[in-house]
Amino acid sequence: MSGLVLLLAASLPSVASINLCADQLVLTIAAPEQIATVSWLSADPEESLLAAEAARHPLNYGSAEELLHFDPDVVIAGAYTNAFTRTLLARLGYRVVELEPETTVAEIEANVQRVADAIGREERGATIVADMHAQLRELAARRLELAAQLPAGALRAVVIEPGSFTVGEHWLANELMTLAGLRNVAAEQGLDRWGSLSMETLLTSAPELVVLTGYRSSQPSLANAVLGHPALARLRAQQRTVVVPGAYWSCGLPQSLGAVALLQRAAAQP
Amino acid sequence: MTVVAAAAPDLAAASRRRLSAGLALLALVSAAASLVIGRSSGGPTFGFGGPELARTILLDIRLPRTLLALLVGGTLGLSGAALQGLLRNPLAEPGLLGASSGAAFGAVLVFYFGLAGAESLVLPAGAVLGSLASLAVLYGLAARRGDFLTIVLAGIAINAFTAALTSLALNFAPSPYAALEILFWMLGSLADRSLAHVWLAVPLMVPGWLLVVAAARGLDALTLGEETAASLGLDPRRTQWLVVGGTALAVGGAVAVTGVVGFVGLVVPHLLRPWVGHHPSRLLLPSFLGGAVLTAVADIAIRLMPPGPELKLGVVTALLGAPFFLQLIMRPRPAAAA
Amino acid sequence: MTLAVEGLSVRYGARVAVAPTSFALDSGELVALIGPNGAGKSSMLKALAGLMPHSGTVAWRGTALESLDARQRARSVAFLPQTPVLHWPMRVRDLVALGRLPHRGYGVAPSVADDEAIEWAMQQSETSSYADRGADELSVGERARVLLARALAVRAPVLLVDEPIAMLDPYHQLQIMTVLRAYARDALVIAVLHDLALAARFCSRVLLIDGGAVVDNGRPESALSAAAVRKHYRVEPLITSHDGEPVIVPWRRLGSE
Repeated sequence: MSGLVLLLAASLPSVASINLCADQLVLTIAAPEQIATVSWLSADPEESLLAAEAARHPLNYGSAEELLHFDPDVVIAGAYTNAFTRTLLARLGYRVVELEPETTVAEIEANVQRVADAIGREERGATIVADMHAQLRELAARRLELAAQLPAGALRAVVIEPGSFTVGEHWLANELMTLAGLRNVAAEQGLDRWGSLSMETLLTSAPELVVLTGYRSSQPSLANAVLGHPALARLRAQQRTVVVPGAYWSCGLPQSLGAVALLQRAAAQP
Repeated sequence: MTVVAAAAPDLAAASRRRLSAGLALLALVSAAASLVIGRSSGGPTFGFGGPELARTILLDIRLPRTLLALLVGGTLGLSGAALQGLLRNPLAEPGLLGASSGAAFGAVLVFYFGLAGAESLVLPAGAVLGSLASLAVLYGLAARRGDFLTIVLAGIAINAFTAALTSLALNFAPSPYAALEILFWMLGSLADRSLAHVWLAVPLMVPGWLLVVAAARGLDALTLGEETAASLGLDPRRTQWLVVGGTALAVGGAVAVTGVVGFVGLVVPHLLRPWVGHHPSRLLLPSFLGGAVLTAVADIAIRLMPPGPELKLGVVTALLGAPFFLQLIMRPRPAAAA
Repeated sequence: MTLAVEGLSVRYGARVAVAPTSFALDSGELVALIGPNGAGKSSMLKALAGLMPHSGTVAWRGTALESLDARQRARSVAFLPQTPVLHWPMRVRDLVALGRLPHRGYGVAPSVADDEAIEWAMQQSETSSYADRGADELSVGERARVLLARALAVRAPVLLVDEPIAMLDPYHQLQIMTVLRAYARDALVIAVLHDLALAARFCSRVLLIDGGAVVDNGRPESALSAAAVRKHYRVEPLITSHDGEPVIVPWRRLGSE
């Protein structure tokens, strides 16, 4: 049987990935033998949900010369990966698939299918999408339960990222919050994609659930220092707080749906 | 009368030829090293990999990078020497005119509007337009008066304005990844450039060089001040616009392809000036060669770093150049004679 | 050979710095351009040099200077400005060599004539011994002579100097005036001067300017008469002679005790 597996794997194109989000999709969809390399960012647990898997593969730093040594059949990149690298790779004759950043679950499914088709794992891609649909159904059911528990209506929630950023209407984190049955306070105030969140706005909007990402919280940075603001500390003491690791939604992944479960569990607490 | 720096060893004509020849040789050696040294996931590599890869690595990756290092470095050195001669000040720099920051803004704008999508050559095209726009504004601001102080002030204003506009564009960038991308671009890099970028920059750099070199005698005459220069038949206005136009074109072409690389134009002419007897025209060729060497060496140094993401070229030249610049300012200047 | 000036006038906006004036000067003369402060001497000199916009024509040997291209004009008229400007500490010989720029084409190596002119200029100005020194190692007097050598190196038939001795000590003042007089044997030298004594002794001709107009043009004895000095300088001069040369010393201000 293993011989058959090896035979099948040998016919799969080797794939290199040079973008964090592309890395994680590749790690999810590809057969391990066909992965030539993933970028170094995906081996960082602060950035990636699949850091352990990524560390089992050779890592690249995104330069064309490196990829020449790996000699992949397909390169998966992000639409905003270094333009010079993408162009040079194309000039060198590589097939480069560029993934647009995902802002909705539907876009995640589309990218999953694109990657699967590009690396000869169409069946695996279809399976993943089917699993996502199943998970969505479960989450919808849970959402209805929650709604029953909360007579006052859906909880008002706000995401506070390092640097005092928050997410707005057409952004993946927002859709995940909606799937969890939450109301995104920033989106209701008209924020479109993402933007700054002033402390004043935060407090006057009276959120009932504070969502933090814990991103690099142990590493000093101004962005994280902002999160130590006393007003925020008071808010956290008074309201429900949940930490959803940033890696869940900085890239659009099938695993991102796990964030919805985290949010729903937090909302269910008294 | 103001004498701004102490004279040091001046070389006779034969020795100056040896200086240029020596710098040219250094440039060749740096180029050879740059062709041979590469960088992979595990850190620096020497050689060209296996036989199948060798041709691709050498011609498609190392050669453009080496050529650009020499051409861009030479451009920066040459225009630094010309600007220092024009402004009679050893603290002048190509970025002074606002051509570098204008080019960077042009690139950022193109990026923000999504015009630099898959085809990254659109990005440098935007940068070129940006540097030419800066020049047009400089001309409009300073043309009527045309004296050097006005030009310097106009350059400062343009730099401040384009920096603010670039910030604004970053604010509206559609994706947070895009913002990071632009920033790295503005720190200057030669990574993953292709021969297409060389062909994009050269038609701008070469005419720029020619304009600058045409101003050589005018720069010499300006040693004695604007009135004497005019009386020697070398109109200071003409010298000024040759240098301004030439450097804006050449530097715009360079920044268009590599991003903003600072301090090369400041450091190289300053180091070489005593060796050419403080003669502005004799400084031009050595500064070109010295700039080429410095940039190539800095780029090689980047490849020799331990494994990890590649450091940006502008960062390395700033690390070298900023302390140099500081000690330049702090060094006691000879007292001005009555 | 004559410098013919017709209707030369310099205006700064509404203000007339030099009223329309005409005169002719011949080669072989050291001409003092003198007058009280603000009379328009520097403006006139710069207009003659083509460094200042002016109306009227200035013709040398029958050819209007305005009709010449920059290089031709530079070969005909050399100019030494009042304020010594020196931005880079070049070697003295290289500085003097800048005077040959109007004669040298782009990228052309210096010719034998260029080298000779440079040597000659340094000899005349007694700067040959500093030829290899850096300009920043010179004293004020030495620097003044080097800059003068640069102007001499042009070997232009017309040399215009603006207050060449203002900041020099008496030794160097006499030295510079001697050099100018020697140069004027085969050329026309026009020098703006404040020093009446040196003007009277060394110059063969005096152009006295007051209020933007040429009020006298003649030999020093007549142009710098006691009456003229009284009228235009408002000082009472002491006029005498020594060794056969005139001595004019401003003695007392008029209208005061």
